Amino acid sequence: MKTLGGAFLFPLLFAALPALAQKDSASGFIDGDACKTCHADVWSKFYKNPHFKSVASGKETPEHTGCESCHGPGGAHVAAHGGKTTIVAFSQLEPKQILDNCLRCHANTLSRANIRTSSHTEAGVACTSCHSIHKSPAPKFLLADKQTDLCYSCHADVRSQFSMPFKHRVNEGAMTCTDCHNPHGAFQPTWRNGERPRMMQSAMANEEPCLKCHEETRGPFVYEHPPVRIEGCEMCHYPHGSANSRLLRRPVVFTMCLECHNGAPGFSRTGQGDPVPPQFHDLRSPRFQNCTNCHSHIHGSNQDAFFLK
Amino acid sequence: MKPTILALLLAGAANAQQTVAPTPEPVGPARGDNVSEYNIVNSFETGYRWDSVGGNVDSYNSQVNYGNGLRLLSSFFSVNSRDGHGKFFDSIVLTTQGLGNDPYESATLRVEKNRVYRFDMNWRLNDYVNPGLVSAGQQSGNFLDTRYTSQDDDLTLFPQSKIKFFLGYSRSVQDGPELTAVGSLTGGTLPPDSVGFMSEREARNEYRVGNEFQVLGFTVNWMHGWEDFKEDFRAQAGTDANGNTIPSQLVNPYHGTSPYWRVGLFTNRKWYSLNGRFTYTGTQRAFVLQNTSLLGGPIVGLQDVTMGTGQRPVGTGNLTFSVFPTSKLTFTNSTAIYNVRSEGLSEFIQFNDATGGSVSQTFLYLGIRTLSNQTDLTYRAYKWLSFFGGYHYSDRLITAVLDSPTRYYQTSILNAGVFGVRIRPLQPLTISLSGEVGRANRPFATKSDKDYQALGARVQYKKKSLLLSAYSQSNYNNNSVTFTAFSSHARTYAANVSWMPLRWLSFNTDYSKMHLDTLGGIVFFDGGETPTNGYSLYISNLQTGNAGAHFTLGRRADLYLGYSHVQDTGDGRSNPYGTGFGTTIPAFQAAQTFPMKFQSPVGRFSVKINTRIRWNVGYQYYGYHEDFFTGQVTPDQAYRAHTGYTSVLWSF
Repeated sequence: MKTLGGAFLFPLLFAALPALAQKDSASGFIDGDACKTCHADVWSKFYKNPHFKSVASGKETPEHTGCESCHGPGGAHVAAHGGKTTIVAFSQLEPKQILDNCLRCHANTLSRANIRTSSHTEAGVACTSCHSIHKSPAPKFLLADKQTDLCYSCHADVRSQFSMPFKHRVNEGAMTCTDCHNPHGAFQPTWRNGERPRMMQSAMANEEPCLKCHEETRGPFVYEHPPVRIEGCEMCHYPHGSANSRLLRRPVVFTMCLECHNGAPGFSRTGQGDPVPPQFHDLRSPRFQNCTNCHSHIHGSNQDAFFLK
Repeated sequence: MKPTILALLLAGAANAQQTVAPTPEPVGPARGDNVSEYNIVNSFETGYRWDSVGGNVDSYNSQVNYGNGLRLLSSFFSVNSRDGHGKFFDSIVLTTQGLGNDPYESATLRVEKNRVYRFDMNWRLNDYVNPGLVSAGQQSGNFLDTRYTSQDDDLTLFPQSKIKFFLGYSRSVQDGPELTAVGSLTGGTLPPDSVGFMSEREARNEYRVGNEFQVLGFTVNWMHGWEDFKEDFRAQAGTDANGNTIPSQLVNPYHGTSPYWRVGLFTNRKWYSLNGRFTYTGTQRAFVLQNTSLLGGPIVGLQDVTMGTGQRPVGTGNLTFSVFPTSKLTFTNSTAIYNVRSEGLSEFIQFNDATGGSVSQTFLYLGIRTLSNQTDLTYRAYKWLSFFGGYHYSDRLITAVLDSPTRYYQTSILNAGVFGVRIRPLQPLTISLSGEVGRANRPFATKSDKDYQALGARVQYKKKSLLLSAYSQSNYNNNSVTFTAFSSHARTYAANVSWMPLRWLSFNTDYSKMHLDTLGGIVFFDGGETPTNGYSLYISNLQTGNAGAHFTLGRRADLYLGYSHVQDTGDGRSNPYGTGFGTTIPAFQAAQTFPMKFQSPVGRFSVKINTRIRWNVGYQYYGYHEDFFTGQVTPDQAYRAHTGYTSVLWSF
């Protein structure tokens, strides 16, 4: 019975579509009602979609309402009984066209201020590479997948870094990539020498995002450890993951420290070289091989010039 | 469920996280129940997680830390207004993970009413055991728990209007151990047994208020915030939790506030975009340290008091101007300035009950001013071919005062060029080649970038459910001076295959090799009075492989099998005291390379009982092994952990 009913009703609805499409024939906008007929699966769940706001509002202009806000005027599409050539079909668009389309509404956000020149945009990564507008399995932001898996799908090397024994807990769900990165393009960094890395979120004063959680290292300290301020955390730490404890760049602490503290002239804030450990540091004794045992406040100290406390 | 949705979800499952639980497979399509004008979807996964650890349990707790017990492994709850005109709200979305004593817990909440407000909350907890001492192959004090919790709350009023208002509050708390010295210095050295773990508590409270509006074609976004920070540290004389003697009493509060302003303005037009962001943060902190050894210990009769205040004002500015004269050409110029200085007042007083005495200390001034400018040009010659190039300039001035009134200045200028080409010979195939060459005239440290080059290549083929990608990146840096030499060669190769050949089968595998060799000059004492010059040659060949396959068995069951392997083969030597580097054999050969292995196979089986219930069981093994440090001399850090879970996932 259902099949029979469908067999009669469907042609009738199809025939009626052009009539439904007459709402604003001059501009081609049809108010979206006709879309529901053929795309019922999309419409039936559309109230859960953030874009439904434009429909619920009832105050938006046709070019900013519902289906036609993204897919353009539907008049020709309805008149032709469908087809990808008669409407804005995202699967047929170039990345830049997709970006232009989305930015018609989404440009007015500070976090997307640099999206047109971001590394992702330059590499041809379009909005729909990461966002699934109608079939998102993610609870927020219409992501096409779990956020980390989306990033890993292109950045396999980063996925490897988060597989290390010591890492920030991204795979465990305690952090996400966007805690530290802005996939929509970031402002030029101001730490280090203003060069790499890019696409970084920044702490409140355009500083390394590490400071958002590791607030205790912000300072000011009476005795600053200058590389922390001047070269940044990456001087000694891998930000994603490491085979070494505390995400350090070396498994044994003293080798990392001594690579700078070798007295080589021309370096350090005085230009006279980073100081060499005084002679009571018998580096062959395990006691002195773990520099941060005693120099525990290595990011900066208010009490001790040697960061002992 | 439509095949495309199923494919999307299963592809995600194959590409899944490393941890065995929570279960990523859904019970079925989340239709939800209609109640009044709302649709409600609810699902939660509750189960029992177990672990059995052999070897160094502390090491396991430092790296993995999953334990036994009942958990609410995950949950999802949403309420959506079906007409978008809810009375108090139109949408609520709540997700949780790991509640009930998992070491990594999180919860997110979004509540919104169209056009009126949007509220976002993000709470998380990170619990791990602090890896105390950090040398490979030596006693590592993985015995003190560190717990970090944070919560961000953000309220946006009139989120769809041209005038928005923002209110926010964030709080984070960290409880755990801090390594510190509790004795007093004698002749510049610490007495034995004066260093230990003490309990510390850090708390951060941040309040934000802001607004966004549009004027003259620009969007203006401003925010004013206050971040209060306090760190409290107290050590009582006596014994610590591990029975170690604490010879003196130490109290060390460190409190402060960081009020900040951030103003951004931007516009996006058809042929140009302009944006700027300017921030000012005026951090102020005060500290006191009182260190008393009157109660006994290695140094008797001394009392230290250090106190002071510090300021750290930071001003930053970014201005980016982009022009799109044609659809093929993009020109971008970006300027950034950063200015920070650390300064303050401090005083150090030492009372000696025998002689009396007072010593002053000077707050050391450190200022950094960086001005950088980048000009980039992208030319898309054809749809399948584009070029880019750019010139980056940076000028950094460092000012330091160590012994007033002498001021030290140094200026470092960096000139760098970037270039690259992107080719898309076929619709699904993308090839990117990029490079950066830079020269800094005065690097700050021996490890800083001086003469560096970074070359990268990426190839990606993506068609339907097949994704093939390969990636290569090399970073070379040479920073040699007459006294010492520093060179670093890092090369990374990675490849990834992700494919869903059949509706019931999908898999993902990737391999990565990271090679690093770093040569640096080191100077050290070996007991004599003459420093010894030597070289440190650190070699790491770190290989990582991940593989996962997802099988849908019939209509009801899912099976996921995965394997992760991390191995550093070091420089290839078979023992820590190998043949060394060339004719200059390093003094600390055991520290020059660190072969280790970390592996984690995982399996998960999941059965859909009916359209609302799914039963899951999984197993994951973690094995960690350091090749050169296997317990003959020092405690073995290796562990073997069997973990697993069983759970029921309910969906409504």
